[in-house]
Amino acid sequence: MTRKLFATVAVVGLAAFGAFLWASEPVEIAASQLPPHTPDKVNGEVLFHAGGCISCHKPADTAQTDPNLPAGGAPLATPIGTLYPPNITPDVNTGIGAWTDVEFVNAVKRGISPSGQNYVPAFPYTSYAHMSVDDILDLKAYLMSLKPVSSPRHDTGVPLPWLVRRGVGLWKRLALPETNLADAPAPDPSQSAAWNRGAYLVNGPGHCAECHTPRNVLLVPEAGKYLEGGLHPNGRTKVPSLHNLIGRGLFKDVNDLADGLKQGEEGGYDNMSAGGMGEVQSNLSKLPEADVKAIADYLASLK
Amino acid sequence: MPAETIALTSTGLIFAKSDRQIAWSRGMGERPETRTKNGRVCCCPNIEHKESCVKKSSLVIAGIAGIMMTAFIGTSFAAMSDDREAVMKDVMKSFKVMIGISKSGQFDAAEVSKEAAAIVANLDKFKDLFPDGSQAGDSKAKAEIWTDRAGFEAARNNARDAAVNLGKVTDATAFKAAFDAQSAACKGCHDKYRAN
Repeated sequence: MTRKLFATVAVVGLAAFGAFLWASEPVEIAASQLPPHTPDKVNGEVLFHAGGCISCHKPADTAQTDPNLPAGGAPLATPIGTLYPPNITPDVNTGIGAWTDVEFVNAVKRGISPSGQNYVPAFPYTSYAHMSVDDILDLKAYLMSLKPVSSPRHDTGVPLPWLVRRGVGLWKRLALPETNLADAPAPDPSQSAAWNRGAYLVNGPGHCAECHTPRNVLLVPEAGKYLEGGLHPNGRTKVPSLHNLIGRGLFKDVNDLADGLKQGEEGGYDNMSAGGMGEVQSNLSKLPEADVKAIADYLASLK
Repeated sequence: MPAETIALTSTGLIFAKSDRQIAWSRGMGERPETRTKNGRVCCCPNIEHKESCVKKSSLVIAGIAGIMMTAFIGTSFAAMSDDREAVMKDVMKSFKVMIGISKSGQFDAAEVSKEAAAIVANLDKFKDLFPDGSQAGDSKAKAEIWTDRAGFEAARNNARDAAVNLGKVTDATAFKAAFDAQSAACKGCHDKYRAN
């Protein structure tokens, strides 16, 4: 009787594990799917700032390394353990110097490493998935133009990483938008070019939703509550809603909002420095004036 | 103070003698003994013991005392983080006045001098708000404030010097330069010592 029970449990267990492996298999983009593209480093730099890459990928030791180089290694606390963002300078041994175009696109758009493992979604690829492949390739070109820094990968502080990364594959079925490979969502023809640019920057590289959209118990951003604020990823404080910013009196008008994004605390906007927003604002301040205004146009339109 | 009262009372309860103990010490009655589950003998007041020789009730009281002491200490340092925030918010008030002056283009020497003096006074207050061991309860104060005290002091002095200079300006051009320097000095300290 016990032997039969044990056998049943073993078979069911193996079947369940098999199902888990199948369901959590990473879905990669193939190199043949990439359109031909001439990279634009200048656009790449804009995306580097819009994407806030340096905020996580900043070097661990700023005394030794230029703090503007994304050499990685600075600890990032997350609900599942401490992560160490990797080196994304073009160092061949410890950075992304040897990465191909499709490997970089899979990393940024699908959250899959060159070795086929899932990235923990502290890397906000659920937002970057909305970026166009052209922009991602421009970003790669910019990163490849930076000075290579040797900064070896630090082991993650996540327990059972293989299992967690595999589990992320399941999570991705819920959370990673099924975006068309080629591009970001099509622009809204009823809105201005500036508004559409702002929408693209906010939804894609800006990854504002990662903090400003509340998440459910599975840490999947709640559909229907886009940018409505909620609990901060730090688990303690609250992140404000970005809806009706002007109507609620937080900013006088669109230009005031744009100034707030561009100048932050130094311009007297004292709500632009708490909870990680200081780093965001510091990155936004490096964007072209028109892009900051576009972001303001889009955000101001959220009712 | 409630915490101290409870600590004293619980100490008294732990060490109080039972009637049987008192009688035995006067040569009357049997030596009071209690045995634990595994046969160990305890010579303490005869309240029930199960596994250890410590009075159960005294454990509870000592525990409460401990929590209250911690809460008391924690609250006083948490209050300190409120003080720090209040000082900085006051600095922001002065800052906003000067932003208004800078945007309007109408240089007002008296206003600028008054607000600059307020910033200096606030930064002086700020100096004493980070005693050793007071990091707990303040999520915005980085550990570097205490591990790199010299650097923190230097950053604070830098901001204070900028405010002193700001108070001395006499025309719009000097004001712009001094105000930019003040912004940079504030940012310099925040970048290193304030957590996001």
